[in-house]
Amino acid sequence: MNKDNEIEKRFQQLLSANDEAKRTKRALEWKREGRKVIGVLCHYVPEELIYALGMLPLRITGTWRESTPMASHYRIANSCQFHTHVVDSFLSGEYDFLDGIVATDWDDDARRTFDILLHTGKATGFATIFHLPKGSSERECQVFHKWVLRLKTGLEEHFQAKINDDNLAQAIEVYNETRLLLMKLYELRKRESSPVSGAEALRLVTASFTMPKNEFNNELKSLFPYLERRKAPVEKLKPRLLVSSDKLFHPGYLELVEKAGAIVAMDDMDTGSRYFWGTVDTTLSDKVYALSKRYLTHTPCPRTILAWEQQIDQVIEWVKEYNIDGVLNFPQLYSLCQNFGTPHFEKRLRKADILVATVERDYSLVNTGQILTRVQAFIEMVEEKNNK
Amino acid sequence: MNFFEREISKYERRIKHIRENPDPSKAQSNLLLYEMFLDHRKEQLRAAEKHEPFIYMGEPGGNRLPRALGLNVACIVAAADRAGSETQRYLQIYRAAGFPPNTCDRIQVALGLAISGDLPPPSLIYTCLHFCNPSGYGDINLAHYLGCKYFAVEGEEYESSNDTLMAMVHQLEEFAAFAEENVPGAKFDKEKLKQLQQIDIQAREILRGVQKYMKSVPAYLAGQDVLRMGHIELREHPRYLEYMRTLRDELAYKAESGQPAVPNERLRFYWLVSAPFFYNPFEFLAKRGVSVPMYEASQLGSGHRAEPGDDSTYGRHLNELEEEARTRNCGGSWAGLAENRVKDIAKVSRDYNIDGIVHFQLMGCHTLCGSATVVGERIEKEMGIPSLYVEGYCLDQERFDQTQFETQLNGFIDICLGRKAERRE
Repeated sequence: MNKDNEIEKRFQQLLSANDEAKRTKRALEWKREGRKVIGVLCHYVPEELIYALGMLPLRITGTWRESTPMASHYRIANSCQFHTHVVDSFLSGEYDFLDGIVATDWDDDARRTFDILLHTGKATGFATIFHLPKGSSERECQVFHKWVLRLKTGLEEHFQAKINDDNLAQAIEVYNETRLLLMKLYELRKRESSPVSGAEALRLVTASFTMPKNEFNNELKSLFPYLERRKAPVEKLKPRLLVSSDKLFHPGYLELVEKAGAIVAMDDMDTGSRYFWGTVDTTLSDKVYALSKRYLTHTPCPRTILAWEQQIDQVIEWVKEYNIDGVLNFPQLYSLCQNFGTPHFEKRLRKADILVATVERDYSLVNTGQILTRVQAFIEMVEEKNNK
Repeated sequence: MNFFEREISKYERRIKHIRENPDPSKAQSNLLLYEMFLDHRKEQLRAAEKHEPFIYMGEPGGNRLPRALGLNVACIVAAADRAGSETQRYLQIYRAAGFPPNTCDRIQVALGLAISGDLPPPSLIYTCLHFCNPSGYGDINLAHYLGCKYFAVEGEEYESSNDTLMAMVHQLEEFAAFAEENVPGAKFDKEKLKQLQQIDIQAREILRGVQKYMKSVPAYLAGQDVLRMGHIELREHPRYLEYMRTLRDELAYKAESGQPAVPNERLRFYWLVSAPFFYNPFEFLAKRGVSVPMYEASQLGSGHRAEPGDDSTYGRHLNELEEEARTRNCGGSWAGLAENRVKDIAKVSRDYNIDGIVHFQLMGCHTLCGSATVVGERIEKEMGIPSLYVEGYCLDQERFDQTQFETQLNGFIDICLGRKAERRE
């Protein structure tokens, strides 16, 4: 029991890695060790390229402070709050230690965020944005691959180092291990009694954003035997919900859902399953192409609208595999990509006889009372259907 | 009444009014414009009543290729701009469909109009994904909502190289093949495409004839006259070029009469993004001695970078499909990074002797409004030209606060006058 307590402490410590007070801790240590850190603003950035050069890719989480006074000067009120909070973090100096940033044109707000960071001098060192196609056809893969090659060349030229087959293969191996470990953990969530709550799963995935992947892998591997027998600390194991969202970093939102009387048994989120689902194909001889292919085609989001149907199919499959009772579509209030897709997403799921509800949220944890009421109403609806 | 019928009724009334109340002080080209629109809407109504297939797209800028395929095109955003008294109804329909309320109101009204049934149902929706999210995501999710097919092209807005141009050409070829396969009667006519492009080149040349009157100090053309150019969806009308020449000649006559657009011009503003379509801010400014000799979204504004017929951009003469790809590839300066927009606005500001820039912050336009402060600060730093950021809507009149809007404009006028006085000292 004492040993389990110790392991649980270690697990909680890992989970807390992306908490606001700690999320740059490992990156700052890395810097003190004389190494470089590159800020990554999107889950479509092939982090392995950065990792292959011995640098730390740090996925940026915007501040969770409610007010963003510095960002408000540049950002309009009703635009994506993730990007507004990211801008505020940068302007307040939280990421001044970065040696560069890599962004994509994920949406209009992502482009404008990059503009602001360039304009304010916060995008220093190696700063680049690349084009992310909105589909995953072969033509689009070729376009994306071109941009990934440019990213590779850009990194090599700026940092005067070479990304070769060896160091890239090693990086891919490490990242694939992360993906497989997380997929293995998610497999355990199919159980009636999941080892982790939805909030914990989110905290675990976002913890991996903040540290070198090999360190994350080692720690998670050592915790696995414990996790296999652990029971998620939730009040109720039913109903089981799947949460779909983009740019949901704050675990408080999933804690809120679980306090409302459900368990988040699976997710369709870029800060969850979409980050790690699907490995890079190591049988392909062109490793950069293999990287490009994996990143563009793995798990589309509403943003990658031309390929999004396959992800909705995947969600419908997960509903069966994970024994899901209802899907909570949890878009960020001003995320146009996800919000435009809401009617279609709901229609497809209802056609598959899946209960679905949409509840909008902010980026930082605010207006929780209102959200809780709506989530509770949905849970009651799900329970009613289950009882019939 | 459907959209076409309402439009026909509107233009018939206007034409009747002009004929019964001739006023030589009003532009004669207006009568010709209304007659052309009347013919156009009648033709569209005829096609709708015969159940000919229609496709939807946003604005007429890229409709040459669909027209060269023989398709009837309903430009839903351009139509939304003419929604008039139906605007609030379309907004309610849009929101009831579950689409996001925080996006550009032109897109909201366009999608509401498309869902309302006031237009013939589309066989296909054709969209461009890289200009802005609301138009691209709106169009595709509209297609899902209506249960119709869609085709999207996507450019790489950061560069206009031969590679990206040819990548767009391939997409346009795919679109043509898709349309021929899925829309009954669609057939690509290369000669027609060439003809439509030639009309646009000629129209642009005609417009250039009045540019000097906007650049001159004081400006002889400004405000509403600067907006009143284009109407490219009418390009196939046999009198279209006649209209453009008549408009040019009328504007030139007005300018040559020696009367500046704004008597006692004190300041010159560059108006960015868009404007409330139900209210004329230029009249308000003119009464205060402020002329607006350039408007970003006008045919000659910095919002449009793809010059048809220009051989210098790609270092060679473009064939028909390449010319079409040009407008899709890197058509506007607003969709890429802010740097492009800064350069374009700086150039116009220099050319037109601009004293102040008004960023009309169209609520929900993340593409343009998201770069406004960056653009404004750069221009101020590099050229000493101040900016005003004023929120507003193009179509949703119920949310417009005229008093607040005018108060902000007045305050900005005072700032610019002060700056101008400082420069003189």
